[in-house]
Formats: sequence, C-alpha cells, structure tokens
Amino acid sequence: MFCKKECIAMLLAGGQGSRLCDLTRHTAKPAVSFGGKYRIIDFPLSNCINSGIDTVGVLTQYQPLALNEYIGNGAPWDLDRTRGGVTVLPPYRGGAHSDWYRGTANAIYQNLAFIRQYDPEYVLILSGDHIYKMDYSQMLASHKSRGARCTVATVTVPYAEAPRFGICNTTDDGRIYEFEEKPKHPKNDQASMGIYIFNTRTLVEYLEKDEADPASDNDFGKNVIPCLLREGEALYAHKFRGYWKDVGTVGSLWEANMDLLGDDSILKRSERDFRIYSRNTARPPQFVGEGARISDSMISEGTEIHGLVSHSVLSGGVSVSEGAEVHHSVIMSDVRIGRGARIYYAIVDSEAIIEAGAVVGSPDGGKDNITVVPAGARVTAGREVPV
Amino acid sequence: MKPAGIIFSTLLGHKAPLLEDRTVAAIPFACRYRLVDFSLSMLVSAGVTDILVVTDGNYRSLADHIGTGKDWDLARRRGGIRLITPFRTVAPGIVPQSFRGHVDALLGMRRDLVPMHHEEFILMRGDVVANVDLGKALLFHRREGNPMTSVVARAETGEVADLGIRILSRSFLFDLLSAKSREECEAVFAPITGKTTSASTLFIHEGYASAPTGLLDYFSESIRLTSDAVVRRALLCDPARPILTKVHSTSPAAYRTCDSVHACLLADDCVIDGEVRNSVLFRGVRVERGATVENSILFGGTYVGRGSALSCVVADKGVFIGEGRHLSGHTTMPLYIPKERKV
Repeated sequence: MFCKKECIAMLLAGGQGSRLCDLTRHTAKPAVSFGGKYRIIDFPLSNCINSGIDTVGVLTQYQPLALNEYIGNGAPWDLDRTRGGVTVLPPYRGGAHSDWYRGTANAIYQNLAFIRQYDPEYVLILSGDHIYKMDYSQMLASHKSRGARCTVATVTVPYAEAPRFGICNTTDDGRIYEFEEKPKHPKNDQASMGIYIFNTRTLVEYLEKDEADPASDNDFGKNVIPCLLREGEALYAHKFRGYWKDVGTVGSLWEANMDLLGDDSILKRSERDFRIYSRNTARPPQFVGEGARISDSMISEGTEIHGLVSHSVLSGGVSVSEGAEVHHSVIMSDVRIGRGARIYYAIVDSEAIIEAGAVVGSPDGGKDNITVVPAGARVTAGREVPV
Repeated sequence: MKPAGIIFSTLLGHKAPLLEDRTVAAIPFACRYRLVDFSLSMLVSAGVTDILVVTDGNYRSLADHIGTGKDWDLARRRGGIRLITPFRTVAPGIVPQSFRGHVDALLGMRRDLVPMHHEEFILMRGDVVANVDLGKALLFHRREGNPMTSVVARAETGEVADLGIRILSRSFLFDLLSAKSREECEAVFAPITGKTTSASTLFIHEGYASAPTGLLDYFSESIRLTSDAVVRRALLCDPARPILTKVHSTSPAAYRTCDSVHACLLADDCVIDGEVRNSVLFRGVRVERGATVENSILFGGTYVGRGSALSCVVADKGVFIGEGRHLSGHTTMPLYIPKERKV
C-alpha cells in the first residue's frame, strides 16, 4: 500500500555468521540470544523505532525460521503498523532479477521495489550483527546538513584492531577521501560500522552500476562505497560515540555478554528512554533457592537457581541445581544444569542438558578459550567437554 | 462454541490498604502479576476469547494493565476483551457512582450481554489466586447438564472453599437478570460452604487456591511462594496453563554482591547489592549494599538505601527508603508502606 516515508531502513539479516560455529548452525546470527532476554537483532530494531524510523525491511536468507518467527508482525518493537512497520524480505524466485542474495548490495538491489513503495528520500542500511544503541536521526540530520550523497557511520577502534575493519580516511570536515578495506597499515582509527544513509536516487544509481559489473562481489564495503569514492560523490563520515560491539565470533559474543555485568552496561537504567525491546514469552518470576549463591550476574525470568552462579548471564527458564556451579558463562534459554555440574567460560545454547557431575570448560578459560555447547545437546554425567 | 467470561472487580467492603487507589483486581501479586491475571489466564487457557472485565472505581491501573489485551492474545476483531466501567444506569434516572457488587454490575450491564450469543458464561472474581483447569470444569458442566456449576477448592478437612467461579447457561443467566428478584440473584453468588458430597453442581479443584481478603492474608500467601515449591510451581509454572501478564521491556535482574539472596522471587530489572531473604521483589526494585530485606514484599520501583533493614514489610510501588532505616512489622502484622512514600 503506498505510503510516503522520508526515510526507511533496510536491515541486512541474512548472513550465516559462520564464525559463531554451533550457535548459528541452525539459526541466523541476528536471532542468536544475547543478554539473557534479547536477540542480537533487538538492537538495530529498537534503535530504528527509538530514532523515529517506523518502516523497516529485514532481509533474511540463511536459516531464517527462528528469525522470521521472532520478528513476526513486529509488535514488540512497535513495528506492527498499518502504514509502514516491519516486513521480512526473503529472496524469491520468479522475477527477472530475483534469486538468492549474492551480497549485501545485491540483496538491497533485489528489493528496490519494496523501497519504492514508500518513495523515501533516504534509505538507511543496517546490519543485524552488532550490539549498540544509536539514534539514527542524528546521523540523518548530519547527512542532510552536509548535502551528502551517502553517509557512513564510523566508530573509533583500537589501532591494533583496525586491520579487521573498513577504515575511513576523512578531511577535517568529515568528508571521506579514502576508504581502505582491512588495511595492513591503517592510517587512522575510524572504522566503518556498516551503517549507511543514502539519498535514494544515489542508492539506486550505484546499485544498478554494481549489478551491471560482473566482476563485482556485490558488497557495500568492497564495491559500492569504493565506487562512489572513485566517482567523486559527496561521501561523509558520521562519528558514533558509544558502546559498539561486533559479535561475530564466539569470543566477542561472550565478551559482549560479560560487558553487561558492569555498572556502565549498555542496558543501564539511566538510558531508559532509549530502551531495547524484545519479544518476551510468558515466564514466571525467577526463584532463588535457599542454598543459592549468586554474584555479579544477570539472571532472567523463569529461572530456578539452587547452586552457584558467578559472573554469568542466564536466559529465561534456566535451572541450576544444588551443588552446580556456573562461572563466567553465558547460559541460553531453558538449559538444565544438574547437581554438582560445573561450567566455566562457556556459552551453552538453548535447551542443552548438562547432567549431574558433568564439567564444561575449564577455570583457565578466557575470551579466547570459550567452550560452546550446542542447542539441545546432552552433556552426560562425569563427561568433560574440553575447551 | 466457547463460553464468554465475565471477571468482576467489584467488591464491597474490602478494607486492605492495598486498595487505597486501585481496584481489587489490579492488586500486584508475585513479582509481576496483578490479581486479574489469574482469572484472565484461566479463561484464556480454556480457550475463552470473549471476556468482559467489570470494575468499580479506581480502575486506572487495571485499564493500563489490560491495555488492548494483546499480552493475553485478546486484542481481537471478533470478541476479545472489554472493560466495563461503572457509569451505567441501573434504573431510569439513577446513575450509580460505582457497581455495588456482582449483582448490581450484572443488572447494569445487561445491554452488553444481550448481543453475546454464547451458550455459557463463566463468571469469576477478579481476585482469586489459583490455576484452575476451566476447560475440565466446562466439560464437567456440560456433562452434568445443570444450569449452573460452581467451582470450589477442597481442603484436606473436606471443607470447601468457594472460588467465586460460576458457570451459567445463557438461559439461566438471562432468566436471572430479567425474571428473578434481586434476592434470587444474590443467592447465586452466595458463598458455598460446608463439606461436599459429590454434588453434580460442584466442580472440585484439587490444587492450590486462595482469595486474599486483607493485608495479612495477602502477605502470608505471597511469602508462602518463597518456601512452598509445590504451590509455586503448580500456580506459576504449569506450561499447559501459564499465567500471562502485561509484558514490560526491562532488562534481566542484576545481582552484584556475593551469595546474599536466598529463598526469593524476583522480577526483571531488579538490582540487588544487599541481602535479601524469603522475600518477593517486583520489577525494578533496588537494594543497596549493606541493606537487608527479609520476609518482605517490595512492589515495583522500591528503593532500599544503604544499611537499611526491613523485616515483614509490604512496600507499595515506588517507595523510597533512605539509608540506615530500620522498619519492622511482624508475620502476624506486617508493616504496610503506602505508594511513593519516602522514609
């Protein structure tokens, strides 16, 4: 239904997230659980609605079942709208230009018809891979005031990590004159966040150029942005200040969860107006038993704790039996941890059963040494799951 | 065809301080519920999708809580949930300020009932705490074929406790409303007592049930959930019949200090840095370091400052307790702190 919008968002949620191994074997990365009661995609979706963007296309491809079901009609994020709202956009057969998505740019290209429905002046391109809170309306304001054709959001990264990112080299007024994809010797520490605002006309023009180039990988960072630069288009950087975490590896996902345990976490109460919304199931309150010992942890509803939980994040419905110990770990929904079981530096996926006396991980573990227990797995008594 | 449900929050003479500015069905319970959630969830679990909630005054928080009914899947085009508020005419020229009990309410809302073509109506109190299988009760009612079935709980002594749940056939209900005297109507809601035999008009609920009538009742039934795992699980953790409630977007509870929370029920968004024992903490409660809370119920947003000690306290929403305050009631007389009071 035609409905004019100034700016709509296209959220790329189709990636496999292969570096998350077992956690994404059967589910797309944006649907991976985070912070007890959230999923990674809650962050960009909530950012959209908190920024006043009420029309979001979510492009899915890899193992989309959990993600599609989770998004549903968008109600938890106030995105169940008659005019706008969230729409899941899977690849489809039948059109002259339709097929599996070949890259981030190709995915948007195949959905230009969706964008045209709203005739927006601007399109915001997001990914569903990062943990951060951002008011996109500020980025849009800066894009407009500079007369940019495209704005790239950037974030400061440690120089040691800069070679992992697309680095934006800018003049003093923020105009990007060089874009280096994963440079060995980065010239500065401003990394592209994979968040772009395009004038719609510019987006269409360059997507069509990109489609016509058989040598292209059809990727924004590798192909479209460099092409804009070569053509001398007005490309600007918008600096983001705040917590931003790529959760593409097991270690970084674990670390991002642990970051929630500090006083300064991204979910802290002082940021109540910029809430992160999520789809909640009906669960009873959490029960902490007589013999429970909990410290420095975050625990969700529906849990029953009778053992020790230290420096960990527990999702809904988890049960920790007497004598069990959970240290420095992320336990996802409905996991059952038996008597005397011990878990160290691990991510335990949904509905896994850690039987009495089992040991997962090691007290010597750490960010680079995280044990993953897949969803639904049963770790039998006395067995040790090594790192 | 599924029956319709009518939940009453129209009780006279409740003297509990918890009713200062909220109708009885809106009383918060067990960390994240309001009393109405139990009746609502029982109906929803039995497949009832047309529900009227009848309220007397002070219904703002009840209306806020129910909203569109989305959280119970009752935001529907066909049927769904409706709030019936008190400003209706009972007799020409007389506009009551509030419904005075169930019968008044029913007589006042007759016009709302006429277009509802359901074969049965399930009338319930909005303040009963139970998880009755109303689906089974309905089957029992249909099998026995009586015009009215009452749902009661049975204690070990054999005494029945009336849960205020009545299943009425449509013809019986309308007959009551149009042809019978007020006394005959009142008799329908008269509490059922005594010992049961297997009366065909009584469906026996064998599990836990309570209808707290005052602060002390409310206190002991709440604290009971921290020690009675059987009751807690039967009431709140039945996957086949979950208790649904309004969803809030708040983060999980954060525990700071070591090993200092024991035998407690907690909701999301709590931040616990002190000691808490045998207590029920609603959403967003904050207990600072050095504070101790035991045998207490702290409603949403309560703050307990450093070094304070609470025992047998019921703190209403948004209470602020500063540093070093010592507040104590007794299990036989809990200390109630009104909403948003600063201590």
